[in-house]
Amino acid sequence: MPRERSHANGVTGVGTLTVAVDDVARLRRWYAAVTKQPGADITRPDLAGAGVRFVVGPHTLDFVAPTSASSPLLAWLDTRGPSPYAATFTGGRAGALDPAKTHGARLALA
Amino acid sequence: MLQGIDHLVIAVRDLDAATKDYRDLGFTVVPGGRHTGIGTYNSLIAFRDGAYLELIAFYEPRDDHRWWAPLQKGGGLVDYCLQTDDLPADTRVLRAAGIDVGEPEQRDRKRADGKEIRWVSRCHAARTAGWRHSSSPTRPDATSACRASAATPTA
Repeated sequence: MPRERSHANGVTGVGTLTVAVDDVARLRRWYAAVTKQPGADITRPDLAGAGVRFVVGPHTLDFVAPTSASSPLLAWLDTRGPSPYAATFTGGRAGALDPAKTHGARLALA
Repeated sequence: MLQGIDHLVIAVRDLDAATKDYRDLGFTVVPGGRHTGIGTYNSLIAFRDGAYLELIAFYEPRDDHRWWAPLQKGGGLVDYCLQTDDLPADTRVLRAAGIDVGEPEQRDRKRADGKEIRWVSRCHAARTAGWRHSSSPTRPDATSACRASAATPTA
């Protein structure tokens, strides 16, 4: 890993990784086994979804499935299958990064 | 035991353009290298919390690579890797939980300075989830890591 870890935008690390899934129960079983945590139930109104959250070291993993037809996760799951959907960073000034500059990645400073 | 996110993988069509754009966003981006035999090369963005971003592109078409298809659908976030301090133990736990973790696969990357980095991958048999064990000369404290890509249920 590179030694250069300082960034002009103030980012210090990864905050939350949101993973789109279609079977929350299975992901809960997998990650509960390997993290020795039960996982916390979550709702994500911003994604019209719900799922389970695991905190692993300094990072948060949200496994979220759509709960309504308006969820953007439906289209994502249809085209990509279960896969990472978005991530936030710690540090810096809060706000979403321009998706044209991130080359398609949904990234935001939290 | 899992230690946290090791890195996030962002697939891009044009690595030079992505490197420039992420620098414009205020990130310090450094060249990575070429992954021998699998057609990819990368740039890296490291953070103080120990995680990093991998910007990755293909220097030749590789429709057999699991990141090729999502790149054709727009790229962006395609994968992630988790650190573990005991990959063999976590592999046993994952298998017991129903994840079909495959056999080790040798991988390597050559940096621009000529240094070669090697690691071993373990992937989900259905190629929809995988786990990686790596040992990097640039990060001797990281004795092992595992990658969990799209966690598609197959068990």
